[in-house]
Amino acid sequence: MATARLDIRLDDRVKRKAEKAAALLGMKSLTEYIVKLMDEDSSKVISEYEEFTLENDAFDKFMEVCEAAAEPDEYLRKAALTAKRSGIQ
Amino acid sequence: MKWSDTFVQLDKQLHDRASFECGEPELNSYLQKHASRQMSAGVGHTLVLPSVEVNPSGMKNICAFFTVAPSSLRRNDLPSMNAKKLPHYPVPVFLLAQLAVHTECQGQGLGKITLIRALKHLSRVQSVLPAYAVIVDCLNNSAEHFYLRFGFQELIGSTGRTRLFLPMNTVNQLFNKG
Repeated sequence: MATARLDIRLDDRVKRKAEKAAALLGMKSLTEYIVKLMDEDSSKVISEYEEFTLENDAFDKFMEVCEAAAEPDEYLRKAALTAKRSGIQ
Repeated sequence: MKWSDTFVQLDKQLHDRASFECGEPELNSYLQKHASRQMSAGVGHTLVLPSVEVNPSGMKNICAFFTVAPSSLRRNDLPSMNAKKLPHYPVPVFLLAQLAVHTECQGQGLGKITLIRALKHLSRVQSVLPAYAVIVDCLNNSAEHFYLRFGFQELIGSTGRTRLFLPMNTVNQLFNKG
């Protein structure tokens, strides 16, 4: 596995607190604790940003509407025409 | 402020993010602090409509912008034995994450044009990255009202802000019929 380095400047108080937490969790080092936190939290953030979950009923309704392929309504078609006439690409 | 005629990818060397003001602090702050970084990280793509004139800082003002990101929608699978029988479903969608017009350019139909331009962009992206729908999160009632008029429908069962969607099938029909 390729590795990279990260230098972090942090408040001394935060560092001591984190060292204590790492020790309580039985981590070998503060690095191990931070890497684990970063890995878990970034996965969580990415999945929240990139994925939504819907209850089954709502999801099925959503798929139904998408597959029904409704035609664009008049307001939307007029807006597309306005945009075309504006010449903005 | 006179706008140019082409949306281009946000470039922090050319486009003055600091002077952008649309009346909604959350959108200003997104453009100023996050848009460029998210683009480098590959999680959101921002296109801007620059002004014709160069401002005193030597850059172009941003008249309007939008940000899109690929996303997916998951069916909340049953956590039981049944789960194995059901197809696993995260379906691809697009998120229209941001869309705003500079206060000096508001009231002239530019929001409408920006939305159409964003949909057109997604319609093109869809030829290589298929998606079922475009989803928007509404920041407030007036945003919700804006999107509903274009035929966006409420995505039921989402929590927090009102979330709306428009099927990509509908978007494609809009551009294929000219």
